[in-house]
Amino acid sequence: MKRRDALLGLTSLAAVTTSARAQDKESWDQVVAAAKKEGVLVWSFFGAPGAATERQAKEFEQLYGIKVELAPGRTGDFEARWNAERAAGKASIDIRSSGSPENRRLAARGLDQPFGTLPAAVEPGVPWILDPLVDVKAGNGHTLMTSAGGYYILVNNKICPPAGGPRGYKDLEDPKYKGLIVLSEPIGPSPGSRWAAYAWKAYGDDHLRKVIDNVKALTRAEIEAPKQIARGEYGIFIHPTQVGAADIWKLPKPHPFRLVVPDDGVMLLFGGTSLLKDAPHPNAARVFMNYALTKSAQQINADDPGGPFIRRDVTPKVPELAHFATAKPFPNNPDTYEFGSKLFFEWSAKAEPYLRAAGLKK
Amino acid sequence: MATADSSIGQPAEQVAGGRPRRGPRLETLLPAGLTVLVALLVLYPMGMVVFGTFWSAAPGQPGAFTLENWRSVLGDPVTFEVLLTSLAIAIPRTLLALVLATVFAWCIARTNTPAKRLLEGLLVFMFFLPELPWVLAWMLLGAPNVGLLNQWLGALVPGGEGLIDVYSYGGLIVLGAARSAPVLFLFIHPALLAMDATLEEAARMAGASAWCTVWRINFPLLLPALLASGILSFVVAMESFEIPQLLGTPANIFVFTTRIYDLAYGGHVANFGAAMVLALILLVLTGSLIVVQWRLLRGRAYTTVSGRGFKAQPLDLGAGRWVAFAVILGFFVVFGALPMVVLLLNSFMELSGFISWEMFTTQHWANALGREEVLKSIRDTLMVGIAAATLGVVVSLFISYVVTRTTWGGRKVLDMMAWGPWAIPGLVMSLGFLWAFVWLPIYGTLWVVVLALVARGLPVASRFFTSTMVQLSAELEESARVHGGSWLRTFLRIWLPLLRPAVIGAWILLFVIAVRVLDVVVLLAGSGVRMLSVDIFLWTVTGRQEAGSVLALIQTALVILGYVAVRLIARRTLQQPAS
Repeated sequence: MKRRDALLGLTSLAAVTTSARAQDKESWDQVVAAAKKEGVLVWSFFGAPGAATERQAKEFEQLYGIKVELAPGRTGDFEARWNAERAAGKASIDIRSSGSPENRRLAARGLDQPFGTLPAAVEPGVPWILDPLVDVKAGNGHTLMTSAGGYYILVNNKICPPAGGPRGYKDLEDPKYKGLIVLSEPIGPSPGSRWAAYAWKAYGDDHLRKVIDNVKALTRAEIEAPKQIARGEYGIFIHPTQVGAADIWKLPKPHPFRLVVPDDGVMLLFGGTSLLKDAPHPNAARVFMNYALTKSAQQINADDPGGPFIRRDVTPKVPELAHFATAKPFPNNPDTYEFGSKLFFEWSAKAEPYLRAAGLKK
Repeated sequence: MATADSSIGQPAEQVAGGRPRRGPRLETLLPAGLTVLVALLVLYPMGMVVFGTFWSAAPGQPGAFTLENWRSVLGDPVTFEVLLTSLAIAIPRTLLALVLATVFAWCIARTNTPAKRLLEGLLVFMFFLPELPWVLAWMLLGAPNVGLLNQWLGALVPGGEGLIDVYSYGGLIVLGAARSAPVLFLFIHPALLAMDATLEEAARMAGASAWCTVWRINFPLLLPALLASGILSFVVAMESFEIPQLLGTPANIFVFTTRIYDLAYGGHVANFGAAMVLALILLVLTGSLIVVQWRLLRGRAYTTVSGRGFKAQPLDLGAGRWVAFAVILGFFVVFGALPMVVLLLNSFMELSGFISWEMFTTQHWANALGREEVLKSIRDTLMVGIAAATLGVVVSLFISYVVTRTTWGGRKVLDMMAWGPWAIPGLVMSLGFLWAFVWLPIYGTLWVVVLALVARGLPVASRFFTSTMVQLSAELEESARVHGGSWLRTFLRIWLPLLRPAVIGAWILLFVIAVRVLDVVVLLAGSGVRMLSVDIFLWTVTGRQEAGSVLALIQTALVILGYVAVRLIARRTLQQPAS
C-alpha cells in the first residue's frame, strides 16, 4: 500500500513538475514573443562600450531579432539622466548593469522591478560562483547578479621585490611600505572604498590608520594606476580589479610587476543587472537578463582579458587574473546585501574625516 | 521700455524721408526676441540649477523646500579651503596665460616676426587638441622620475629625472596656462590686427619709446580684449576639472571643481543640491568680475576702425624677431607637438604609455575605423558641430550688436545672461540643461544637444564679437543709414564685411567647442546620439586609452578639417566681387 502510495505520489509529483515546466515554458515563450514585439532594448551600463558588451548586444540581436541600444555611463550620469527622464515621463532606459552596490542602492529605493522567472537562472547543475538570485531569494530587491570579480594587490617587482613584499592585506600596515602605496581614493563607489570597508571591518581602525599612513598618494585614475605600477611610479597599488590589471598583461614577459592574491583572502565584487522601474521595454529586458546568464554570454565576458563572469564553466582568457573564482574569500565575503552594501555606507560616512585626519585629503 | 527706434539710432526712412512702415521692424523685435531666446537657452537651465539648491531632491523628483544645501556648504570649512586653493591656482594660471597669449599675438600681429602664418596656425592647432588625452600624455611625459621628459633630462643632466613634476601646484599652473594661452590668443590676435598703426606711428613721432608706445597706446586699446579674455581665462581656470582631477588629486591638491565632483558624483548618494550651491558661489564670483569689466570700460572709447581706413605697419624687432619666432615655436613643440606625438604613438601601441617596437600594432585603428558605432559618432559629431557653430555665431553676433551698438535698456541684462553658461561649471550646468531640456519635444534628438552647445558657446562667441565691435566706429553704420540703407541692409553690407574675420574666428571657436566639449553632452547624448567626446572620455577612463587616442586623433582631424574648410570658404568669399 505504502509502495503504491509512494509510486502514485512520485508519479503525480513528476506530472506536476512536468506540467509546471510546461507552463513556465509556455509563459516564457509569451515573454519572448512580447519582447520581439517591443523590438528594442536600451541597456545602460557602467563604463564604455567594450568588446564584450558589443559582442553580447550583437549575439542577442541575432538570437532574438531585438535591437540593443547601448547607453554607457558612470553612476552619477546614469542617475541624473534617468531621474530627469522619469520626472518628465520619458524614461528611456530598460536595464542597468553595474557593480552590485549601485544595483542594491536602486533596489533599496524601490527603483527596480521584479523580472519574473528566468529559465537560465534556475537551470539545474550550473556551477555558479554566486547564485544570481541571491538577493531576490533573500527578499532584498530585484538585483540579478550577472558577473563576479575579485580585487588583488599589485606590486612593482623592482621597488618591492617578492622576497620582502606583501603577501596579504594585513602586511600592508608594515612601516617598511611607507611612501610606496598608491591607493584608489576610498570614498564613494570606488575600488579603494571596498578595500577600506572590508579591511576596517576585519582588522579595525588601528590597521586602517597604519595602512593609510603608508600611502603616498590617492588616485582617481584607477585604470591608469596599474600602468603606473608597471612603470615604477609607485610600489604597491590598492586596489585593482582583475579587469583593471588586465591591461598590463599585454606587456612583454618577464613582467616588471606581480599580482598578489592576498593570503588573507580575495575581496569579491559582484556585478548586478536591474530591470528598471518604468522600463519602456520590460519584456525585452527580461529576455536580455536571461541571455546574460547563459554560458554563451558569460563566455563572451570571459573572453575579455580579466573579464568578470559568474559561471565557473567558462574559460577565462587570462587564467592568472581569474583566481577570484577559486581563491579563499576575504573574511565576511561573499559580498552579501546585508554586509557589502550596509558596510559600504557605514564606511562612506566616516571616510572623509578619516582621510583628512591622515592628511590625505582637505 | 526703450524702443529700438531710440536705441539703434534714427530709422532710415525718417532720415531719408521714406514712407513710414507699419508694424514692428526687425530692429525693434531683435533685442526683445534675443532676450527671450537667451532666457530660454540660459536662464531656464540656470533657474533649474538655482531651484535645485533649494529642493531636497532632484528637480522633478518628490521633495521639499530646504535650506539645508546652503547651510551644509556654507558651514563647511572645506568649501573655503578649496576656494582658496582654486584661486591660488587660477590667478597665476590666468596671468601666465594672458601674458603668453598677448606676447604671442603682439609678435604675430604687430611685428616682423618670421613665418607669422605658420606660427598662427600652430597656435590655432594647439587649441584643437582634446583635453583629456592631452593631460594623460603629460602624465606620461612629466611624472616624477619615470616620465619620458624626466628620463631624457636625467640622461642629459645628473639628477635631471626629478626636475619635472606634473603632480604639483606648478604642474597645474603651467599646464593650465599652456591650455588657455592658445584660446586667449584667438581673442587678442584679431583685436591687435584691427588696431590702426598710425596711432603707434604718431606716438613714436612724438618721441615715445617702443615700450612707452606699447604701454600708452597698444595696451589701453587692447583693454576690452584683454579684460574679456582675462575673465574668460580665469573662469575657465576656476572651472577646470580634468587637470586638477588627474594631476591634483595624487598631490593632495583639491579644488572647487573636484569638490563639486565629489558631491555630485563621488559619493554613494549624489548630492546635486550641495554641488549646485558651490556652482552658484562660482557664478557670483565671476558675475562680479563682469561688473568690474563694465566699470573699467565705461565711458571710454576703443574705436580703432573708422570710415577713414587704417593701415597696419609691422614693428621691426631687428634680430629679436628670431627670438620671438623661437619662443613661439618652442611653446608649440613642448606643449603641442610633444603630447600630440605621444598621443599618436599611443594609438599604435598594444598598451598606452609603453612605447616600443614590440608593442606596435595597427589593431586599434582597424577596430575604430571598422566599427559602425564610431562612424555614427563621427557623423553625429560633425552634424552637431556644424549646426551649433552656425546657430551660435548668428545668435552671438546679434547679442554683441545689441550690447555694444544700441542703448536698449535691457542690453546689460542680455550681456549678463549670455555670460551665464560659462560662469557655472560644466559639471553642474549640464544638469541644468538636462532638467530644462528633458521636457522639450526634441529631447533625445541631436537638436537638444545643439541647443545646449549653442548656449554653452554664447559667452565665448559674444565676448569675441563684443571685443571686436567696440573697435568699430558708429559713423560707418550712421552713414549707411543716412543714405537710406535699412537696418538689415546696413548690417549685412557694413557690419558683416567688417566682422568677417571675427565671424570666421567665432565659428571655428564654436565648432571646436561643440566637437570637443564633454560635460554638456555627456548627459544629453542619449542612446540615439553618439558624440566623439563622450566616447573618448568613456574609453579613456575605462582603460581603453589606445582606442581613446585613436578617437582623439580623429576628433582633432575633424576640427582641423572644419577649420581648413571655413578658411577656404572665407578666402573664396573674399575674392568674389561685391554685388
